[in-house]
Amino acid sequence: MGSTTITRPEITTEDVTDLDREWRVVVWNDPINLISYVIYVLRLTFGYSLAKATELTMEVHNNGRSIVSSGPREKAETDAHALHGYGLWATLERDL
Amino acid sequence: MNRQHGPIGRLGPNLFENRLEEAEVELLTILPDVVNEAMEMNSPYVARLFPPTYPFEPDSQKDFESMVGESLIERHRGLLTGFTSTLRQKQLSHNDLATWVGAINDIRLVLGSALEVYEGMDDPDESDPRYQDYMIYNYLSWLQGSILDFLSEQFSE
Repeated sequence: MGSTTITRPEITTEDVTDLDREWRVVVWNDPINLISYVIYVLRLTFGYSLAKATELTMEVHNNGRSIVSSGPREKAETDAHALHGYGLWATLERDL
Repeated sequence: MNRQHGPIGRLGPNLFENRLEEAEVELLTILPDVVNEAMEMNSPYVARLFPPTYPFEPDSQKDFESMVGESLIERHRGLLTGFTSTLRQKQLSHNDLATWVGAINDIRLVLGSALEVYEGMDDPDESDPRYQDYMIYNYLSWLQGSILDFLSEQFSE
């Protein structure tokens, strides 16, 4: 994996409440986590196929980030917390 | 390290052989203590174990941390403790290996942060003060990859 800098998403719809929004779980690239480890964690955490977990991981590696799951805030927080437990660099952002 | 075989072997569907050599076990026993001490000291090198969930929303971040922060600390400590306590077992379960791979990743995150590892980084010269730690980092990467080969067999495809 490589290094990257997280960037603040542009938010234009300030009047939408949290309850109305979907939240995205974003995994960011880092130079330490092995590609094979990220694939393993995504399969274990979300039950993704090898093909999907590999696609998301390579998106992280090549583009610096990938949205690995989305949903209501509580679910997104649960997902991010699980990924942190495996040492992945995950953040949440509102689905615009 | 020169070795004749991989660090792990399969004995059965949920049983694995620990083939680590004594020098490896001795090294791997020390490293979790280093990470635990770094956590206790709030060292900047452990920051990657606790990434911000809401990097641009301080209030949400504070609320989330107060809700789950302690459990994340316990998660990392639990991995390190589980790793240390099974290092000398000759036979390992699938769950043991899952603990190992998580603990090794935590150690790599802390050591890699201290070494300021970047993608495509060349091995430092032997005269570089980071050389020994970098060799340990490389060894941990190899060990983690070896374990992942076995853990990945659990998935159906």
